[in-house]
Amino acid sequence: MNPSSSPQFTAAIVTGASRGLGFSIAEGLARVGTRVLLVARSSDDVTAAVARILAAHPGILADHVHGFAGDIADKHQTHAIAAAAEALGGPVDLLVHNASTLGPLPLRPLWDLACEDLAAVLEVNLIGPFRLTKVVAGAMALRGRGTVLHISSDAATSAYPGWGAYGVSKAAQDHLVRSFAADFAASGFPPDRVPRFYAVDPGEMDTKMHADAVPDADRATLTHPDAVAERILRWLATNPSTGARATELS
Amino acid sequence: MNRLPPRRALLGHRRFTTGFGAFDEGWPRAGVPRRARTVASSTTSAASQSRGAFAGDVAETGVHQGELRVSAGSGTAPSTVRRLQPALPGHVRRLLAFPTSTVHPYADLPALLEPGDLVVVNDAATLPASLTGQTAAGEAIEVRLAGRRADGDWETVAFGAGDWRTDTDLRPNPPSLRTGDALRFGPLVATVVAVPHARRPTLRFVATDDDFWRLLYAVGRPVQYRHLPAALDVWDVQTPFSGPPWAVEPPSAGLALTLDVLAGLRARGVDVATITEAAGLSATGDAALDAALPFAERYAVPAATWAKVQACRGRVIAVGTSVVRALETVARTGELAGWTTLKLSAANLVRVVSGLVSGVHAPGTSHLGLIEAMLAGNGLPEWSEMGEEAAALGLRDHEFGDGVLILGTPHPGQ
Repeated sequence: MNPSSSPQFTAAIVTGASRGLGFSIAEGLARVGTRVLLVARSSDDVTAAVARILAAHPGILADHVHGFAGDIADKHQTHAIAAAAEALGGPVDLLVHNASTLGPLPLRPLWDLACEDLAAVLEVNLIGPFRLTKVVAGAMALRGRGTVLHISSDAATSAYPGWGAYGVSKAAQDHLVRSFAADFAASGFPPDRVPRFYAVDPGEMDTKMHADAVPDADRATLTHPDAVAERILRWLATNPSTGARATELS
Repeated sequence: MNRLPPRRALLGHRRFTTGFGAFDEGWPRAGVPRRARTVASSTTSAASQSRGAFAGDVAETGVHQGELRVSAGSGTAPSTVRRLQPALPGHVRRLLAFPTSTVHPYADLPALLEPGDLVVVNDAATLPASLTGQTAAGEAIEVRLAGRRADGDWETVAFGAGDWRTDTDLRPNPPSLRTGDALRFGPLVATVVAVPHARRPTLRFVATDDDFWRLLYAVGRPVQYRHLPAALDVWDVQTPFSGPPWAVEPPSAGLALTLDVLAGLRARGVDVATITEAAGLSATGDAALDAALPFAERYAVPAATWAKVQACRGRVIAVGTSVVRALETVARTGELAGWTTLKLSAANLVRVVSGLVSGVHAPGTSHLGLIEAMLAGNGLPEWSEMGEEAAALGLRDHEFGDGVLILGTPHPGQ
């Protein structure tokens, strides 16, 4: 990546950005000159993540990387996240829905899940992202520029024992991507200028989420999230068709 | 999979129902002669029915039925207007079009315009600009953000105890404030850095940029309207295309637009462009301050938008008075971004804007001077006549009410 060329994206919101793939995507974007708002629930973690990016890359302007301590599942914070991103770095032309929850740990069969547990997983993985997309996609449509990327999973297409709540939420999220794409395709806005919607299955990564789900996994077999983030950003640069779902990019 | 019928078929002729009654989408249509749609007469039985239901419900609710004396901007004889129940977010709004004097569902906007027209909207998001808190001495204070200055400090209008259910004009003065005073709004703290007027402290928030936005949205509420039955949430005051969080009251004409309507405009050959304007407070509770409204407001007109305005051979239609202010400022100064103090009036006419979508405004509001300028600049009748017509038709005034569409003629050489 060449920091001196003009970045593909002007300003991005990345959720779940304090660690793992979200952090790697935020860092990758900031390195090429995109202004980034990192969103994560813990104020300490998000502040530390911003500091880590700035310390590792002295060339990045401090005003290009900001943090927002907030919860994507909280409807009262949706407009705050969008407003912070627009005020601190807008116009937002990339939204990365990376924040995600597995639900109660250790993973368990659906019949051992409380009703509220499934609802809580859907709030984080589906409804919260829907709300934030709804708030930013209209401005994207009028500006004629915008990309919304969801991090998906193979649990969206295959049913694994114990992964029910997560898998259901990811399957629904994949369909949310296709449905937003279909609505904009039918909207009458110029098809080459409507916001684009993508889902990408990043494969098995060496992250905290993976360790939570599969505590005894052999980490040597897992991909580092930095490598996955680089592949995802390279894939976005190829301008795939809206509604596309990519799997384990290489 | 079963195919759905074409969307148009689904959305065809239907009866709208609102919390205040119902009216038929088909009533009254464009092209109905002017005399035909005055109060008592209507052309079809369906129209009579739906009109009856609507008017009856208004009477039954019994809210805001007081008589309101109207003396519209330019010295015409006062007329009497019935003040009606406002529409709430989500309710079907109507659009009274001039000079045809026809009423339409808001969603019919594309059909009312011509290919080649240009619609310009304000993409400012609306801030939760009302902050309730205490002074260091524990006195109650409400501060409404009025605008962010270039140096990051905020101009505000302050009120004493009470809330939005009290008429702004009857609210007590704020506690006496001095430079250096601290104000606490829950976890958000501000320092008074200047007091240019007892009710207009300038504040500096004590927070990092990152924390400021989170805290503002955590403790702030949108500026409220006493004519509405319930408090508005920040979700209620955003247009579907809101971007930069600049507006302290909603650019309300855009609230009733949907992305579907905007796409319909494009399909009709009507281009849509954006500006950003920090739509300001509509009332301060102080007659002298109110007379100075609107305050200086930040604006930005993208170069691409201005190029479209200049190239437009049809009408340039502003959605909201904030769009008129921004475009007319550029027409006068050539500056695509900055702060505008422009006040339009019958003596300072519009130069580039030749159409306007706006609310049904009460007399004496800051919007009305601008509308008078809009009308006079396009050779249209004075607002008093239109206002009477709107009232006679039972249109709802104020924010979240119904709207007017004023169509003039394109300005030569804009």
